[in-house]
Amino acid sequence: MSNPASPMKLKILTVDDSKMVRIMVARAFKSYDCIVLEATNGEEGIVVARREHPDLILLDYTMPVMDGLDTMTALRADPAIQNIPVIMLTAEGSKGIMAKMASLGVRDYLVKPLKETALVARAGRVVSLNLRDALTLPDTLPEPAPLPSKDF
Amino acid sequence: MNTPLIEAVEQLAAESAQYVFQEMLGITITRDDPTPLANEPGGQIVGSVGFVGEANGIIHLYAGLSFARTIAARMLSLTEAEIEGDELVNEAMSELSNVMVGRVKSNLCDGGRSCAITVPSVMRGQQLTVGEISEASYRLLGFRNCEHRLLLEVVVKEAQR
Repeated sequence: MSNPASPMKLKILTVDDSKMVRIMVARAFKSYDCIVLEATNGEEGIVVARREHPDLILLDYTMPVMDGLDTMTALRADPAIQNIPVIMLTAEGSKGIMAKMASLGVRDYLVKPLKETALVARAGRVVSLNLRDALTLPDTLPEPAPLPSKDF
Repeated sequence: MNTPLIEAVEQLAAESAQYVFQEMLGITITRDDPTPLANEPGGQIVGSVGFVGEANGIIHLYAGLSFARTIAARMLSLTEAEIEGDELVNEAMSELSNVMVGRVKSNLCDGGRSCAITVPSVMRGQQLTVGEISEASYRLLGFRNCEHRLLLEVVVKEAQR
């Protein structure tokens, strides 16, 4: 869910039946100023996408209930969510799969096993990733110490 | 495409297992005697993924529960003590099997044997044993990393043309 105090926070939706992948994705983006949403299959992913309007969807290819290709078809058929960029995550790197993904307008793909650095790099090409603030300034700063006087 | 399917899948499965363990987990596994894991202390766990189409078959990845916990910890960059309960171990074996057989499937497809893979399944047991199935070709491959052993069971049936 979006944080009402930060309405413009980037949202990334992971749609993957593998809990390991969802954990790895959340960990990959934890240093970045974004919200990572999750869905365990394509059908659930469509529901979350319609509700949350994520900025990016990371979509698994092989899933129960609704697989990646059917999910892409459903996304592209809904005017409210058809323009959300999608990066496909797949254990299968065959040429046929790549061609199918391209025909459905997948923005990019990653072949598993996932590397967190590659995932962040590819996402960064599609959306603007900003690091979370490393420093938090206090509301008031202490008074500066007076400079020593000098006789020139 | 003259190589018998079982030989092609056996080779692809062996290469895929070694690649995935190295890339995904940083664990080097080497070929070993394919002795069943029936006596692994604590029991065993098996991840299975099938493929259907012009190439039909299923690949089972067997590991002892102790090694499976190591696998889960490596996959999540956690210590083994941080892996609580069974869920993450099951999930790790599921994902490992999925990625491994996914690579096999990609190579089969690019080699002209189109097929699709199934969703992975995971099973646990104390005395899991492997056995041949009639009307199918069968291979058993053993691997080792230090004291940890793994088994790959490859079962294929070439589609009737």
